[in-house]
Amino acid sequence: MIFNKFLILIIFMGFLSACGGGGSSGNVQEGITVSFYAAPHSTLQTIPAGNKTFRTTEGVQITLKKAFLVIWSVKLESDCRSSNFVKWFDWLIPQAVAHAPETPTQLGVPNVINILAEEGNSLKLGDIYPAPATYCGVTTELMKADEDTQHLPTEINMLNRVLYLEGEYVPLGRNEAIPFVIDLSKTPRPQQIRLSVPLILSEVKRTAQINLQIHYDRWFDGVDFNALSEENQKDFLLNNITRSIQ
Amino acid sequence: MSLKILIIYFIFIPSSFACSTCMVGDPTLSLMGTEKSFEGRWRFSADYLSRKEKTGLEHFNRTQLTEQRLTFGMSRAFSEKLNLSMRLPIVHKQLQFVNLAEQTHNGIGDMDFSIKWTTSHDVRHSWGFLAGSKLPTAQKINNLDIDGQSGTGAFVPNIGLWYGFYQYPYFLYASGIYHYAFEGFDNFKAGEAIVSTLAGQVALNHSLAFQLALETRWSAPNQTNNQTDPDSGGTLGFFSPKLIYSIMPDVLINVGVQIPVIKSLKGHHQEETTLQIGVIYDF
Repeated sequence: MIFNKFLILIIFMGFLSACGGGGSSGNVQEGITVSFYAAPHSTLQTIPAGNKTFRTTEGVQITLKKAFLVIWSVKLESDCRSSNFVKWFDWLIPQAVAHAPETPTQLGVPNVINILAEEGNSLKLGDIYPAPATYCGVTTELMKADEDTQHLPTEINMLNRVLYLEGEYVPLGRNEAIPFVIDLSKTPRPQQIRLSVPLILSEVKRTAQINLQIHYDRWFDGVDFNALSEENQKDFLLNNITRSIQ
Repeated sequence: MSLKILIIYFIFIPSSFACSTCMVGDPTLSLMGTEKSFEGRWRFSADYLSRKEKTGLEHFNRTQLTEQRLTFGMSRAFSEKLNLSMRLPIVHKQLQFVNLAEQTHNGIGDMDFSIKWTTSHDVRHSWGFLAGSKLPTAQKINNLDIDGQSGTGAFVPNIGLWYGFYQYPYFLYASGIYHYAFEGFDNFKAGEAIVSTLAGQVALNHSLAFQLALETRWSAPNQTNNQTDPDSGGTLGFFSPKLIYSIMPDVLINVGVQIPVIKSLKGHHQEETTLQIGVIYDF
């Protein structure tokens, strides 16, 4: 008899649980979301998708036939006064191997950017979910791709590569084009960019979009093409590439 | 049943399983009492609890959980030695993220059942075993984080020992319980935990009693997909004063707080003072 009563109780609570479970309700209110995009962008004129032909500041004509760059991480900065927030030049940091951590202010998903893509057609890198604050800048890092990298191309294996370029250049005073291939896996210093207008995120301003422009037509400015295979020229090129992200 | 005995029976109000993954206190106390049971006793309880918990760094990745739960419980003494109980919480949760996103949830939580076995007792001393489990009765809401769910959706068996010392108007109680959680919603696995309760009370008169307890919890970090949550696990201790008042024969109400005094939690994790209000009816 006693056990019958307890059995009834168990059934009752099970029934209550089942009914209550069915009546469960959840509500989600979206918070602040910042989306990062990146696109190739010529500084002088819009160049259509496909092979990209342009001139360096020295007048050397460059044609890129394949060009892929890995943006490893993008971070939103709220303090741009730090001593680190300066333009680094001619310095490379040691190679890193771990993933950039995904945090509310940092996108840690690497992306491969196809520089030959249509200009202005931005590639979405990802979303972050930062706290309400005023943000003054963005830090981007270039690093070699891994298996988790988004938009890996099929024509070139970008794993363990930061940059892959195929193209040709026409030296000053000459007509014949000289082909080149540049294949780099070094990690340059992060690029720190001040936003022209501070980004204020708040209760009433919950979404924002940051578009990174890659000024690829400035990559070869000052490069000594006769010494392109030397490490210092590769480092010079990498620094140009880092600085070209605006 | 005399009021004095009632006070002794029910003097220890349960600290709650504060949330689905953080458990502090001995939930068997109010439903089963610590005294020698008499066969055929039924007991009903309803406990309201309000709490807050924060994880992460302020202005960076902080998440704040505000939880209120109403837990209904029933127990039955099948003999002087064997008590069984079941508890079912109705949960309201509000989860606030650093980016102003918010999740709210109302629902039934994970039911739990407990068995209390009295191995030995005399006039002043009594001790025995505790065992039980949480059952995955909470319904998963797909677009909510695990902290926003009303339960973890996991079996969480437990086993432990208890001891009671009685000398009216004083009463002492101690228990230690080990909890092991299986995997629940979203491959979430709460860390194993050891929960202890050390409590003393004095009956001020025949209708009012005062209780003080130190309730601690040690737990291993939680895991999701075998990845450890750095802001979980560690040791937490609550100083828990309570007042118990008999408003009529067989009916007790209690009001108490749990004040965190030992804060050795791992990572960035803090729990705030918990408020508890309960009613117990014996029939």
